[in-house]
Amino acid sequence: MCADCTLEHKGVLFLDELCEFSRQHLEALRQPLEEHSVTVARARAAVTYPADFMLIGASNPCPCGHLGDAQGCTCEPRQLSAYGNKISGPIKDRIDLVVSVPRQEYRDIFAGADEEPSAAVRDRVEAARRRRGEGAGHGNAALTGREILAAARATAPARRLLALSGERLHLSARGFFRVLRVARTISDLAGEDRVGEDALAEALHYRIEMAG
Amino acid sequence: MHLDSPPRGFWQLGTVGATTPCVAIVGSRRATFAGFEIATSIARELGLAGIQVVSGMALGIDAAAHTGALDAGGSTIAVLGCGIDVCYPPRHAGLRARIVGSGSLISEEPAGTPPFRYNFPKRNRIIAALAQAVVVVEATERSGALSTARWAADLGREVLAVPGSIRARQSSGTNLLIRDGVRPFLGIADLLEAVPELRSAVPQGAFDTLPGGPGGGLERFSPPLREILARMGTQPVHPDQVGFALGLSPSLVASRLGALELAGAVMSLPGGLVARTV
Repeated sequence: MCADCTLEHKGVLFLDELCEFSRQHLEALRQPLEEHSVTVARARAAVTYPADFMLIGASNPCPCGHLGDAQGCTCEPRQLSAYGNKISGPIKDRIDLVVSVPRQEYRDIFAGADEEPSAAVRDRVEAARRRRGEGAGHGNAALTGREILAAARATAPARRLLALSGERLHLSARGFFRVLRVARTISDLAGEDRVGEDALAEALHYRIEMAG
Repeated sequence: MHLDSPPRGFWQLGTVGATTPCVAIVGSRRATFAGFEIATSIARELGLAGIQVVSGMALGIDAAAHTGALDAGGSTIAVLGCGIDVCYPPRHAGLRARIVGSGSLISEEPAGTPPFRYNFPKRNRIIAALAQAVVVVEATERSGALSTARWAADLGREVLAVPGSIRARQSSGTNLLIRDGVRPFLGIADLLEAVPELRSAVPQGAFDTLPGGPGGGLERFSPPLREILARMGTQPVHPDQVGFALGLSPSLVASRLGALELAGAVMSLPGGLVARTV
């Protein structure tokens, strides 16, 4: 896992079937996700490698894979909670966006031609980055807590929502800044100067889905 | 207790003993969200009316029944299949403490008995014997809840079953009960008709002032949020379905759902579905 982290420096580390990895391997992601570096300690020396990557994971909703779809899930309650607990709280806390993707229906496979092409999405992202005056860097993800607070320029209703969410969702300090970074990015993509209530609520929804 | 094989004795732990009348709410451990909600709301109505709720403290419907009664400030009895000092399932430690605080735990097993599989069907007869009526909320054909229903029928207690879709696996057992002549439960009125003692045992009008079901009290939300709630109905849905039906972008739906989740009006379920809780 350590080798993968540093190999993907400045890239994307994609882990398919995230919940099938052993807990020990997943916990090894903590340091690189937070410090953007990974330390390998052996008997004679400890070496630190750079590991600044974007983590993307894919997972089934449950061991049988049918939780939430029309066919119905056949897992035991105990299996479900064991599956969900595979990813520890600290790791979940470091994941910003959780989006569930329902099973595609057959008629949509043939009909679906009107989705946005990746090139158009790329244009939107590049436009957003230009607006914020950023180069090819890591943008909002690289901002420190103090910097993101200033950059967000959250409106008063957004600040109220943030305070409420801290209380209701028991956000950690890390979680708080992470929500703010996501909300800043949503506002950037929408071309908005200040982080409003809507962007913040959207960022919170992506985080809540994981808590459920 | 009218049982052919009455327990030799009871261990009881709690503050409020079994009262008459009381109603048992039982069902599947692997309940659907709708079943969980139904069990909670029946128990809540009974709790508000001062009627004790009996169940088995298992996962799923049982837990919903105890929780609903406690949330309404009512009393509830949990009949255990293990020793009185054993917490099973372990994750119900919090619920167990609340039950002891305003009801009681009952077991016929000696203290320290682990949750042996064969003790659970046996405790079902006690649940049936304690209650004047048994409401089965969700059960598959092989569910333990059906054994409780059979015990209850043998004892001459009223049995009611919440009907479900004929395609829903979680309702196959309750639908079978109904086919075999058990009274369907469509609302608290069915329970009162089946067991008239319930109405006479509680203060006049206790069942007339119950809070309304879905649809009421939504004025506190802004029109865009109300639009989302109105689209959601009683079953869990995927956010994409809501967005598609209303012609809203996924990000707009996410933003409104985020606001509703914070307001406690919507809950995220494992598997990515969302459900209304108001």
